[in-house]
Amino acid sequence: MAGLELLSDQGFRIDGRRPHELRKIQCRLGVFNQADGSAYIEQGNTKVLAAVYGPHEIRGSRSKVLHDKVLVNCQYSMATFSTGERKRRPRGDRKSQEMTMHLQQTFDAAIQTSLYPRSQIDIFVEVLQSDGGNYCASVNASTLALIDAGIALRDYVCACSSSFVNDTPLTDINYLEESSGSPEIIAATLPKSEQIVFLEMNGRLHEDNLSRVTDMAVKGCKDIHDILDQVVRDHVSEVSTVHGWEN
Amino acid sequence: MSRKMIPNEEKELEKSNKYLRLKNVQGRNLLVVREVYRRETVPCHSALCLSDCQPNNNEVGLLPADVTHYLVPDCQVAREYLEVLELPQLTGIVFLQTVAHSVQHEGNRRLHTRLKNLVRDKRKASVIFHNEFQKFSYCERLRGENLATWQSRSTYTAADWFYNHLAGQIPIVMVTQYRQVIAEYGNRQMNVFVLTLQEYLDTFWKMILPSITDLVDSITASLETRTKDKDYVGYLPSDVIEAGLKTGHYTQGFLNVNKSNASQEAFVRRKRQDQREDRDSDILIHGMSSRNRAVHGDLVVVELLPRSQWQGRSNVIREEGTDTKDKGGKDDSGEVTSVMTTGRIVAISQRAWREYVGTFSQGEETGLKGGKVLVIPWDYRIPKIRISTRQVEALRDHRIVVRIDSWDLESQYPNGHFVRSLGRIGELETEVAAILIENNIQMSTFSDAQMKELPVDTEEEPWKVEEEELLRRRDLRGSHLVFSIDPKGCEDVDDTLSVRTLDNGNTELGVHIADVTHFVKPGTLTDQEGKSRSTTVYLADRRYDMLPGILSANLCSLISGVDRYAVSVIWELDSSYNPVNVWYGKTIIRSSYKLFYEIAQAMSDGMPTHEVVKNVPELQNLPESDIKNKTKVLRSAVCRLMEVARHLKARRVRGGALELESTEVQIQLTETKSVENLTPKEHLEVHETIAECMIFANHWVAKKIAQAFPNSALLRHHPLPREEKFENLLTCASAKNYNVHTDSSKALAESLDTCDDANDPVINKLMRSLATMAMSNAAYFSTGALPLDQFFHYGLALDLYTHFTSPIRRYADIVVHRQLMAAVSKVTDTSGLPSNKELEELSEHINHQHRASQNAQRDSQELFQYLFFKGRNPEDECCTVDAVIYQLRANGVFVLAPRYGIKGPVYLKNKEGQVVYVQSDGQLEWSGGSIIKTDHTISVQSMFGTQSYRLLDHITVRITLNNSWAHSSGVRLELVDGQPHLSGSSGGDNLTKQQKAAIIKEVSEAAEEKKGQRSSHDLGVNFEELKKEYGQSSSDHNMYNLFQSFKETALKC
Repeated sequence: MAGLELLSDQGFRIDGRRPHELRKIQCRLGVFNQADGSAYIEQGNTKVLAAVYGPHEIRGSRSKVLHDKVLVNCQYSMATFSTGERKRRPRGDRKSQEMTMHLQQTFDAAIQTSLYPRSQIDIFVEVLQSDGGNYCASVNASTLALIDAGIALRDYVCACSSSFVNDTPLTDINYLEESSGSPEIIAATLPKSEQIVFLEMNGRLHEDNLSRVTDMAVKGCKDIHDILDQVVRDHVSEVSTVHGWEN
Repeated sequence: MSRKMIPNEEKELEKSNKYLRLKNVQGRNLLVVREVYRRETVPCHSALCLSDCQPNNNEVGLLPADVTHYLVPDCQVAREYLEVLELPQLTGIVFLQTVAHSVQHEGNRRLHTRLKNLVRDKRKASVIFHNEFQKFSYCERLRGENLATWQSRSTYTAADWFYNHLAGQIPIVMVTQYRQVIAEYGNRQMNVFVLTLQEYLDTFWKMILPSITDLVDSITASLETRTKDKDYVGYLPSDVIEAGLKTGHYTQGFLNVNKSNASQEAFVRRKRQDQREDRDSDILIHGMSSRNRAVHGDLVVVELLPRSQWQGRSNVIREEGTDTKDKGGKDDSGEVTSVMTTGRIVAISQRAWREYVGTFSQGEETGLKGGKVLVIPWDYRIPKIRISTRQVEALRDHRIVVRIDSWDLESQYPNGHFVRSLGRIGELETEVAAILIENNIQMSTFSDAQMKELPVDTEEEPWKVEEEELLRRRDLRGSHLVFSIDPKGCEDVDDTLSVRTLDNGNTELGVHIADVTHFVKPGTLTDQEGKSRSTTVYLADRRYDMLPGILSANLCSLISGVDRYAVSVIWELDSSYNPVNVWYGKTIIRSSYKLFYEIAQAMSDGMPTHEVVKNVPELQNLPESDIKNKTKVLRSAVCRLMEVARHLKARRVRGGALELESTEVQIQLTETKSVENLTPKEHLEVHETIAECMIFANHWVAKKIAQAFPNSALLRHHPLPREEKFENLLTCASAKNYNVHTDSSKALAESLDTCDDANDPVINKLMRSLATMAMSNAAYFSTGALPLDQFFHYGLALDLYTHFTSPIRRYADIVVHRQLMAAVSKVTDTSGLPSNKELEELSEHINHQHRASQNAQRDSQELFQYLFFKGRNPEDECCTVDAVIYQLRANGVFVLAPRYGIKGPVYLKNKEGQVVYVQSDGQLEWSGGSIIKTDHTISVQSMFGTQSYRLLDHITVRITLNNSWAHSSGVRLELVDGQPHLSGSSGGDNLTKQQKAAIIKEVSEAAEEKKGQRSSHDLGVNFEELKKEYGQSSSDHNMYNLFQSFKETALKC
């Protein structure tokens, strides 16, 4: 079997996108009634649900209480049916534990934590279908859910991945591109201030190209921000129409 | 749901999903969904484009505006006729993405790279058009639509779109090899033509490029042959196979590749079929494509071909490994036997892939990309293996170990990987290691953990008889005169004998075997190790023990003068030597004398007492009167023993026991001895005495355990020979007008005695060795696994038989010891003993290991044979020998050279098809001619005249070397003269033995420098062991010989 051609000479990626193009994003806020905030996002074939509870009292051990800020508690899991091969994924496996940690760190930086001392915010993320960029979709979904819950954020947190093939940076890589062995940079930013809250790199990438690839990821975050922002605005106007708050 | 599109994009993308069925690593089917984005502006790369859809980079070529048409090849054309499209004259080709994908996935990487290079070459002015990313030129694959149909539909749709996109400025030609595509799409659009490649080239290019049609024709021709030759078919799914096996539609069996015609012929022996009913149970698998990626030894599922496609096997002697492809495959009708059941392999139940010894081919350049190299396995029956390694240069003259990993459908050779190197080709250690690996024998040193389990016997801590054992065992130390008779210099004595007259006048005969099971408890590490080794392996110059040395050479060895544990069988025989009573049990003995064969024989022949004393150390340094007395007692015991054995044997021979002695075995036995520089001895009566006693013991033990464990006793049987195997023997016999009857072992034994030519002692030996070849293999089995009527031992003419007398070097004997002890102890606890099922598996394993060790032994002997002749000048006197013809083939004869015991083919027709003629002055002339074979003669007709050879004629042959780089080197026989060799065969056995002895001696001495001391020691023991195998019984020994010769011929013919 010949290897896959990730980027053709004509500048098309495997799925027909050009290097700088994102996958199609569809999302929705307020999908659950019982959670304080919830959101659903599709980035291409990656589909993620996020639900937010809180801020509420600390549940469980009192010793976890932080007196100057809120405790952000995340839980990431993948549905058994989320990949091509059905596979049992126990909640506590290393991969999802790592992802949980990453999400927690990301949102610790983005939530205005000092506004809710001695309380807790829970973020639950479930990957329904996985096709690359699970972290990014989880972050984006969680942001929307947090917004839906009305929790004070410094800014949207948007995440986007990028890769580097044939001297060209690719944005928002899918599963095939992810698993091909080319380098991968995952960035979560606060797009307005262009601050990076989370940056991860896998694979080998020459230092000279690092800034190009990172820029691509950051640019992707900005593009995603535009989309999310539009969705939030539409959602708010829709809700306000329903409640008659328009004037 | 709100939806939003990607910003910064002038036009909307349309998203859809593509469903693929892939296979994952485990080979399971997997449904994969991939998304695809489509847009309206995909660059068409045409200079004529009006809509300005060109990309801004200049890297890709542009379709010119000045050609008469654009060419759109379909998938098949691009894959198979890319060479035509690569011609510099052809420009303006549009390769669709669909086509490029198909080239990549259905073709191979090289082809795809060629395609990409073609497109990158701007002079060709050809482009790849991403039709699947264009909104309007894409068509979705319908449910159930087959790939090829979808590909041609996509191709046409894209061609059509291209035409419209360029607003009809230029005609488009789509080329395809499918007629129905032309019929379907040919006249849909005015200026989109659909043609076959031939039509297209004829129309557009024949005037300009007349040679182009030749190119196409030659490609087409090579395509046809390729598909015929090596296109493998996928294996059937397991449920289909299972159903097919049950209904008998398919047959299952082990694949056995013909060594001398490995690329063409292989046979599948049907599994679990009553072979007596089904004589032609072998199914021929002809050619590599019907063998379908199976490798020698695999358990395969075969589908029989219709009778019209059955083929015959070749009757020509071929040199091993020579390829017959260039001969055109069509053999003369005379060279092929009548048709036999032919089939093709449809699935593989179990792979038998193991480690293979291989070599890089000698001259081949290995500049292949990715470091892929072909390795030629040592075994002719294994196909070449493709491995990737960067160490080719370093390992070029090494033998290496490789493993097969996979064999893809589209790959001519299996893929494998490099494991390790064995050393340089031609070095003794390398070759011996290769022999071991090829026979799958793994012999490492015993581990410390194993050694810790064993008792110690050192200077500081001598081993002593335990008190409680003393109580538990019958003490024979005072009551019986126990002695052993073994070859001279033997260190591990596992059998001793005793004989005495009882008060009632009856004779008491005792066989005392070393009690190995006392030291080797079931389940211990030593037991595990012994089980996995199953047997001590003897190579020509070394051996690999089954048990650690502390047991085999010390504590289990029944040396004279020390107390040892034993398991005894003691019979009371009446005056006519019929057993009236038999006792089995554990004993403690102290052997009084350790005799060797020659002295025992001499004593019975009446050797004077002082001579005896000189040769028996136990009798020395004693008072005069004692000596006389003791010698007298010993002498009478030996005589008595021989007397008893004589009667036992006579009774057995009356029952039809076969005596199939052949020169070979004696040679093999003597050869190890030579290292100690002893003169080979003749066959003595006392050999038979010992053998007979052992057979007797084995037989009675078999009786006992079969009775105690009717469903789980380990016995040894020797099935009836298959009638058709006697064919060659009968043909040879009729050539000399002998009558050979093969109805029963008795008839065979008697009729073989009559095949005697007073002037030619070789004939009788040859006849016996041919009979030996016809024998089946003796094998261990569990009584629960076979019906009662298959328990018998054909060669020994006994109804029950097992192995009991050599527990030091055979694992089967250890199991039998345990069973015997359980049988006599009356303890109902049989938990330590294997159940029928376990025993079945165990006996299979032991049989397998035995065969492997025998093959290894044979290989190593051949190696030494080769090394011996390597040092000789071919004109040397010893290389020209007398040989007897024993089989006729279409292009030569098989001969036996009795002087060295070498069997092999002599060609009368060489590879160029010329036949040989011996001139009166002894010169050989090769010329055109023919060979006519009848039942008993083969005649060579050449321009010089006609010469014929009869079966059992003597001819003169020269032994030359058959050097081989990748395989084992051997010797080859060449015709020198059609007359018997002058020095004749009168030398007989003695000369033969000496000759053979000299071979090994010389070779060993030359090869061994540093470990000379050790090896000679090893060899001594080795010899003893071998002798004892022989000592089992002369016929049993033949059994062993029988495997060998049987294997040999099976592999050679």
